Amino acid sequence: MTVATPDAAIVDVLDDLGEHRSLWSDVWRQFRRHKGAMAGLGMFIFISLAVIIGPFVYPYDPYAQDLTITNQGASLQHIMGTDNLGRDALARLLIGGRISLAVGFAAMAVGLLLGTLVGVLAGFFKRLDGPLMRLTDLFLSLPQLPLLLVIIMLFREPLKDSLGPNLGIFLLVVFVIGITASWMNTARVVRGDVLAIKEEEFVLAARSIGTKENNIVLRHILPNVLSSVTVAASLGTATAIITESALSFLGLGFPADFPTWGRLLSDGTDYLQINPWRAIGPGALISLTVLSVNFVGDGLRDALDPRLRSKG
Amino acid sequence: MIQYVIRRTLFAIPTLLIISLIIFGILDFAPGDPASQLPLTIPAEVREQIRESLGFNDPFLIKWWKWNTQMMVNEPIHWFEQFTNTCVGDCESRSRIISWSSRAPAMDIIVQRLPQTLWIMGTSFILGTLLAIPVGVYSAYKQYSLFDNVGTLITMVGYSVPVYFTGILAILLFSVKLGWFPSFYSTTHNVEWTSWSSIWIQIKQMIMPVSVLTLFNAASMSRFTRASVLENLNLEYVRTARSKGLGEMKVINRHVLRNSLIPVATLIALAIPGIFSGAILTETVFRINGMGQLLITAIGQGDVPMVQTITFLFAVLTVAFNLLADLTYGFLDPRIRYD
Repeated sequence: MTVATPDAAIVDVLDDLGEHRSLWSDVWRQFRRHKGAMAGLGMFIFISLAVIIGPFVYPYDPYAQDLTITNQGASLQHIMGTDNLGRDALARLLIGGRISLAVGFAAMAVGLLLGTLVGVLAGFFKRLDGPLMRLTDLFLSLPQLPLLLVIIMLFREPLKDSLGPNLGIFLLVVFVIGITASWMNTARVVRGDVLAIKEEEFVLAARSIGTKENNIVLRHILPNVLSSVTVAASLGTATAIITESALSFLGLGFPADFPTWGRLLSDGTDYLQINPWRAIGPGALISLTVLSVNFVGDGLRDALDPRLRSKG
Repeated sequence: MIQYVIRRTLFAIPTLLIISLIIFGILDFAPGDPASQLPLTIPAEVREQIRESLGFNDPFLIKWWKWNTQMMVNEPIHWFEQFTNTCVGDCESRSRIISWSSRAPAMDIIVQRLPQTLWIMGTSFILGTLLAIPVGVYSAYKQYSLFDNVGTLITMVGYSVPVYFTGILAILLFSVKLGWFPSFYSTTHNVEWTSWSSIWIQIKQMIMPVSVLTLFNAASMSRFTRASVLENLNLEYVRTARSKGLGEMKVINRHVLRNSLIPVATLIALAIPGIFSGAILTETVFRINGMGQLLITAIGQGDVPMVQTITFLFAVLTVAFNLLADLTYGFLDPRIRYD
């Protein structure tokens, strides 16, 4: 293959695109071929829009009680029926999704920041590598769910008193999930990437013209680990959403008057025979969200894998 | 190999000590008080004496040390005595971890709950592995076939749908609508291994929790297996094996499978905490009074020693499984033994 005279076909493709192909446009082209990932992305956008816009459009107030119509099954007025206090189940489902998704994203962000920090430090500075990776291994062998439950039990009351019931619990759940559940995988992947990138020639070049260490990390190394961080982000979101709903399901998440999908599901299980939709609705939404996020993560991984991309 | 086993096993001890420090440290912040559930008629100085007698006012490191000796020395000796009906040292006055809410040794209660958890978790772990590996291998072997596509979709669903939702769906379908299986697990049922009807009752109440948990375990395992087999199938040694005329069965089972299982062993070890979480949630859904349910009750009651003991036991199990996976890894891959 000669570099000086590019293939006519490639020139055509480049002309069609009208611009140079960046990494991300390349990734997007590859991503679009993954049917599952596209379906997942569509489903995820749909659910997000539904929980963001839905509560403004849907006519029922999720907190309004009406004791004349408690425990009704699905009907034309109340599509998913009503709960034991006569509140509309669908309205609560929509408003609950906001919190579940917000927790998912916030906890993912915490885990991602922590994981990237640990990974970059461990990969770049040889002295820190051993201790930080031992720490990561230690966190991986902690019993996650019991520990999460214990931490939340202990710090729920103090935080509720100092920051208010909603914000306090939100921050607690987000940080605890971020710290115990998802950063370890990010850290491992990022460390591996950094170890490889550190030896590349452009880093040597940067160093030889006198770039400072922190600039090498920020300008030259971080942009190159972004692709694996993206995959870790999607998987981390899925983990965080599942963990939050598991906590709420066990009754240790948000307070009872604060609907999240896990909470609604656990409340709904007591009324399975009266109105199954109260359990099926939130359960299906948790599952669909996690499923779509996982599919997106799968597609991203395939799209970012250079071995697969070069074939496409 | 023996040197490797010893090195790995010794490495587990400091890990466990650090984990016990973390668990104990977190719980030491607890606002719990061993005297809080006593009747209000007890005067304040007696309360103080009760706290003193339970060692509640000792400094942190002393409490941690005492708890560690109770957990790692006294309890094993106690069970050894129970088992062999002997007496080692001062068996009358040996201190054990006492639950604040039931006033009984925490381990005695845990031992009553352990069989249910092990039954459900063990069965579904074994069934999950037996199901996942063939499915993973076959769908990698026939990549993009109908079997692979359907299998990938099912594993993705099994991996994404939380057990507390599949469990509820199973209850809704098989207990509420069809009435085939009981919706909760009854521990009062004593299995008589000589009577078919008694065994049948046990099987009937185990089917739903076990299959829900099996689906969850098998899903992640078969994803790992599939990915690992796919990587191996394109390697040169497979072509060599084929070109020297080996049958497909031999190529896959003898060559590819053995090499593919190496990373799978590690990935399964990493998935162990997730499997425990799944078991705790399954116990809650099906009202199984196992360890997970005991933990949740103890958390609700603020019973600190009980919570510490159970969390630590989960940590011990996690570390033990990690160790087991490491040893399997060393057994499967000779390069690992000599690092």
